[in-house]
Amino acid sequence: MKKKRKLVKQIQYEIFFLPALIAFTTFTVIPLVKTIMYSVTDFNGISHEYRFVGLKNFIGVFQDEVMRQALFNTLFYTFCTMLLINLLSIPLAIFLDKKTRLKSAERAVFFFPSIVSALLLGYIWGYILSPLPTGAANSLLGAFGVSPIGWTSTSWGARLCIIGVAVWTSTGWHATVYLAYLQAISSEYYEAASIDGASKWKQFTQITIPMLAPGFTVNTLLLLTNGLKVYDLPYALTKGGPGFSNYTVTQVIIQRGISEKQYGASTALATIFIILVMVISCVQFMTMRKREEDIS
Amino acid sequence: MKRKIVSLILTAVMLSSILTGCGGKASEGATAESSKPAEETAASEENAPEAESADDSEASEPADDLSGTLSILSWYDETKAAPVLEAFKAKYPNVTVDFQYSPPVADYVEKLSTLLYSGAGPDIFYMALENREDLIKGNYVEDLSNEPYMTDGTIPDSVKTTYGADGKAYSLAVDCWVGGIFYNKDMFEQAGITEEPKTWDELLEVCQTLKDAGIQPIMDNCQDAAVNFTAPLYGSEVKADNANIVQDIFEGKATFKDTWTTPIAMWKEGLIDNGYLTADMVGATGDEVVTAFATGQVAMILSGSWNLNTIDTINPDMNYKCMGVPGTDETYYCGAINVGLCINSASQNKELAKAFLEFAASPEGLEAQYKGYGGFTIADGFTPEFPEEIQEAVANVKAGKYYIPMADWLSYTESLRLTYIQSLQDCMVGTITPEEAATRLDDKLAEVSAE
Repeated sequence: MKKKRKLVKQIQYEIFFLPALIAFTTFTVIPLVKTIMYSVTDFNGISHEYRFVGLKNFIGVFQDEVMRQALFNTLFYTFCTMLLINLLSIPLAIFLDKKTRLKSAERAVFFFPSIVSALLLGYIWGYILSPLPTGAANSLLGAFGVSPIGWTSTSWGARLCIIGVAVWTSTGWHATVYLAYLQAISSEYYEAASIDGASKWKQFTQITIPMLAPGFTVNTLLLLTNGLKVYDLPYALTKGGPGFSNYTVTQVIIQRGISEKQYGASTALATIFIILVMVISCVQFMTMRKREEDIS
Repeated sequence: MKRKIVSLILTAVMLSSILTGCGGKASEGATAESSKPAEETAASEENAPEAESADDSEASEPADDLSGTLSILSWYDETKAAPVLEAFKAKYPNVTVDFQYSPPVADYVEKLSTLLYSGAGPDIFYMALENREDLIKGNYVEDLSNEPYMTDGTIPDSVKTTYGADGKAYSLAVDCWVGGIFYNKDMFEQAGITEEPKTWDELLEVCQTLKDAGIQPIMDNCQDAAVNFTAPLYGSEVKADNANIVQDIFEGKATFKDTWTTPIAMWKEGLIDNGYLTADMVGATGDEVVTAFATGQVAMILSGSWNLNTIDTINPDMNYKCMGVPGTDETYYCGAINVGLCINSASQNKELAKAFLEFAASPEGLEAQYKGYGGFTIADGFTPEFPEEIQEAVANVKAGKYYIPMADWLSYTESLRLTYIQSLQDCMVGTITPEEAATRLDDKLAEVSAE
């Protein structure tokens, strides 16, 4: 009787979990299972008939030059944005933490770029970084007698422009996360360090940085997952060009699947990518956690 | 007790409203034909010939014999489709159109594929070069070969070839777009150019003359597979000599490398290596190129008829014209037959769908489509007055002097189109040679056809 009552009580709480479970299963688990299922078939998205083709699609992923290039671009983008945004957002957070009269305005200015859709920003920056002499940046340079720069017209130029715009867009947002962690650091630590004669730099490296470790974990994980699935900004800025030199994995998945109707190849790449993201995220998370424990 | 009475009254009201609703729906969904008394239907069948001739004489009179709801997934948005829908409504006042729109191309193709795959496809939708193969091979479209507009010469044979297979026609396309080299007549005059170039070498001479006069000769961002130099050059240099060459490629008797290297090399060596087209143009957007032309920063651009309004809006006084891309001997244009209407083979409203297509092929339907969509009518029955700048181009496209690769690539169209554009861009920035660009198409064909 007691057991039954306990079970009923437990079920009462579990019911609250049900809507989330249904939504998660419908929108994540089922599509994921279907993706894996289609990756071993020649499904084209329009015909009801499809055959089992084994690992052919997976082998094709590594033979396809476009997919290899996209994989490189995605990893390069993720690594660069993760590094640069972290490097810039910590000093920015410290700057925003200062008690000035314009504190709110300063925070709003730096946070603003992250509110606007990446697609819209991509189109705006596309106009600014147009390689034509009439582009905004080139017009400005022209006023100082500088010849027009090709910006997005070369592979590496476009790649660096994409990273530059991504860093500009996201630094403010990630600085806000660091700001929250900064504000949680007790001023007593700094007071004690000052009494002990620690310099500002020593205080920064010995107190601020270690205390920001949890924020670093959160930001790095977010930058890693967002970087690996990036699509909108590179597409809006360069459409993946010139040629396919700036394609990202997500763009190839969408293009192969939706435009080219090669759902088999597309889902095989998606499956490989899911595994890759899971492995990278787990390794990164565990490493960071261990580092946090070591510091504390 | 009071509560019970109120609940009973409310229940009764709800039940009666449900029943009324059901009745309304049933009568709305049924056609007038089926709801007619038997004698009346028999009488109308007996009088069919008279009724038909009466219909012919009063084409614009409202037709009350059809009713119901017809679903359409449109390629054109509500504003563009409005003249057609209004004219159709005027002719068939008892038919309600359930209008849906999805922006072309990728979104439209994807939405339609999903709807058809899940068995929820609309009664009428559009066939484009990008989804032609999927729709025909998947048996999603009704055969229109025996419809009156297909047999009486209203629709030109080129439509049946473009949107057909095995001698059957599956789509009703009534108009086309044209494109080519848009040139600024005043700039030509300023540089002392008095005649349009008739050959490829003459075009290169024109570019040099403009450059010498301090005018940027030409601009192209190489992002459009339909409007670029290599497509019309392929038409004049390759297709004109061998009409079946693409079929040979698909059958393995020829290769893209053998046939596409020549036009790509002509374009690369003639325009890029001589510095008339530069690599930085790859990063420009289509709007920037058109704006540069309309504001007099460049003498020539490659463009299509859809940009006429933009150019006229930016610079209403501009003196320009569309000419073809001259090859060694012949001049070809860019252009293609526009998307066409199809009937869903699984539609429950085929009678209504057929009526809509018949209306679309009628003179009043053609006029409404011209008014709304702005394409150049190629169907017989309505001849609009084309803008002066484009008149010659339309005449040449009607005469078959145009080439668009996607119309020829009957299979794996989208895969080949994307590879084609990527290769041209890489060629323009100098990372691959024309031969390598053409070979990539062979590689792509081999990859996708092996699946």
